[in-house]
Amino acid sequence: MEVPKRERLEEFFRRLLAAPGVGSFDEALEQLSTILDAVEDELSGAENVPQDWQSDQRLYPPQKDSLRVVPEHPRVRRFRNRRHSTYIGENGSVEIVSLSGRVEVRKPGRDGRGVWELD
Amino acid sequence: MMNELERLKECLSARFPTACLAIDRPALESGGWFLDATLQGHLVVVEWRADRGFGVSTPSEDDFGAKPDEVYPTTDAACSRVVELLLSQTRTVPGRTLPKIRESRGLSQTDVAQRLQINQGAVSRLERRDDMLVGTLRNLIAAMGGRLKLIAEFPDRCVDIQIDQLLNGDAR
Repeated sequence: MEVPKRERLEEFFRRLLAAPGVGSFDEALEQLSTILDAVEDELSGAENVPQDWQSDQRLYPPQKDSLRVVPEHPRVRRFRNRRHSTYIGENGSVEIVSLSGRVEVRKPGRDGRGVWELD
Repeated sequence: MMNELERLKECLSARFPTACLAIDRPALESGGWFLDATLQGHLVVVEWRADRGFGVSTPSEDDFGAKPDEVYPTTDAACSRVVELLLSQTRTVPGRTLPKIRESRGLSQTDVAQRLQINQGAVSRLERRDDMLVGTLRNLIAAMGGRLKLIAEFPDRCVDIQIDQLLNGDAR
């Protein structure tokens, strides 16, 4: 049964925020990806086919080729998707921001610092 | 040298001088580029990859990680669609089911039925069918203005399948 996208997204944010803080960029990306894949496996009803190009109603974690540099913040990297940017700090912190500027998730790294507290 | 997304931005800029058009560059040139086009508060997002073409969406706040709603192979096709979306302030149509494809072409079941010289109910039944002859699907897609292609994906390459060879004499 397919659960509405907003509910799946809220479940993803809830699980991400509830998960223990991690200590590196790679760990944060892996944690985020694992949690979103699990939510979508359970609730989307859509197969996991990230390599396909067109919408299949499933939500996918950031893809490595959508990486961006963040000017003036060399310890932070950004992934872009169609409506959001996901910022990940080298300390494992995460911030997900909508194009409208709304912060959806703000999660510190294991050291307690947020994405913008690394410089 | 300008890439295809930058060309699209030029095309839209000429058409809509007051639109807000912003390119979001990837770290690597081969990565996913984005163009955010906003006109009178209506946002259209275009994703472009050199090896895949253009993905066009009018995303909502819930669309974290969703792939593009509509895909266009050329700059001209993408530009036409973005112009249409900005002018009409309408939304892209996600999904790849036959009804969604038909709706994205602005066609009703009656329109398609007239082109196929069948009745609307027959089109409705075709769209709900679990399994379909390749020839029937080809004709349905043609009635929507498209051309059916079949591609077999192998781990090391993709192969175009010649549809005519699959069809018997009646369906050709």
